[in-house]
Amino acid sequence: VVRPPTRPELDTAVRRLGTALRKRNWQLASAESCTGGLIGHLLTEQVVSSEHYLGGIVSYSTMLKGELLGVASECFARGSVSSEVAEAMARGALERFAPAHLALAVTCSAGPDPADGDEPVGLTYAAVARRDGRAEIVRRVFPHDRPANKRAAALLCLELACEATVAED
Amino acid sequence: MSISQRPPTEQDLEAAARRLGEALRAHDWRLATAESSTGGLIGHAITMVSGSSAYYVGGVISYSDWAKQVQLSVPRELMAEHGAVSAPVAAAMAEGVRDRFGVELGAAVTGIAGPEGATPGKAIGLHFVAAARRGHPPDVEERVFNHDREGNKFAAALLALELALREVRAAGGT
Repeated sequence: VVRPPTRPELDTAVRRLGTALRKRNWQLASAESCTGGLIGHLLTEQVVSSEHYLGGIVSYSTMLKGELLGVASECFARGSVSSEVAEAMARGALERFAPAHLALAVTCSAGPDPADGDEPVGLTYAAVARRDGRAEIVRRVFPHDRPANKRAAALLCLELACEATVAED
Repeated sequence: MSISQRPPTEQDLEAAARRLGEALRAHDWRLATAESSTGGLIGHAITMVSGSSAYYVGGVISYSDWAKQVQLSVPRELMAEHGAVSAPVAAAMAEGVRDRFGVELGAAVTGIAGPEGATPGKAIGLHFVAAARRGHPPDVEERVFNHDREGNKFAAALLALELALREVRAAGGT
């Protein structure tokens, strides 16, 4: 990825996800770390979002990922930016938002300073968890500045959630 | 109630988030947010500031009534009596997120961003913003914004950041 996503690209991803969720009559919950609420903000730009978006948890501090999302302490063995933490955040959000069919989660090191010391700036894990137990996790390293890394992480997560919604049972 | 001319920009939000961050740092306080109509925009603005993890722990996006009740412990009766967009619910959201996250300050927004969602007695653009510091009754402000959906969200987010800043300053000291 050379350039960060534009606002129209983000809005398109939000629309696609919303349409896919409503088609399945699914409700979504979110667990955001580095994006700090950006995904929820984008989702709720759509008037119809109240039909398919329940809300979520912004777990900006590491401690809260454990306490509020039930991320087990072993998951932090490789720091708070890892596939284990992303998956546990998604599964934790799904468990805590009982009416939801799908949960998305993102943890990343947005920069300019590294999150826990040794992760490269831009390292991003996005995850989704479905009610049938399936989960997907993707890893990317984005090369942008802090605001653009947040936007890129948000887009990655929205697209992953859309794929998980349209995927066959 | 007041009607502002133009909605705040992303730069306005970031500047307000920076001022709030400095005040929180000076008091060694931590903040948590409870967002309904703003959907996460306040948290997004706060986390645009590098180093915000020193004072911002996170929050709850309580976009549905279910989330307000279950994730923020807003009593069902309070919602039934006053509606989700009301001063008592905004206050309960701010206290709920403050206590759940165990921090010094909670900030909350509930509103009707539009262009749909008006109910009898509650116009599009109506917002309640609350800030609750530990040991004090919450401060709540009521406003009606007249922008588009995104503009109303930005205006409500800015007001929440400003109200939270006032709350930190009201604690005195620095």
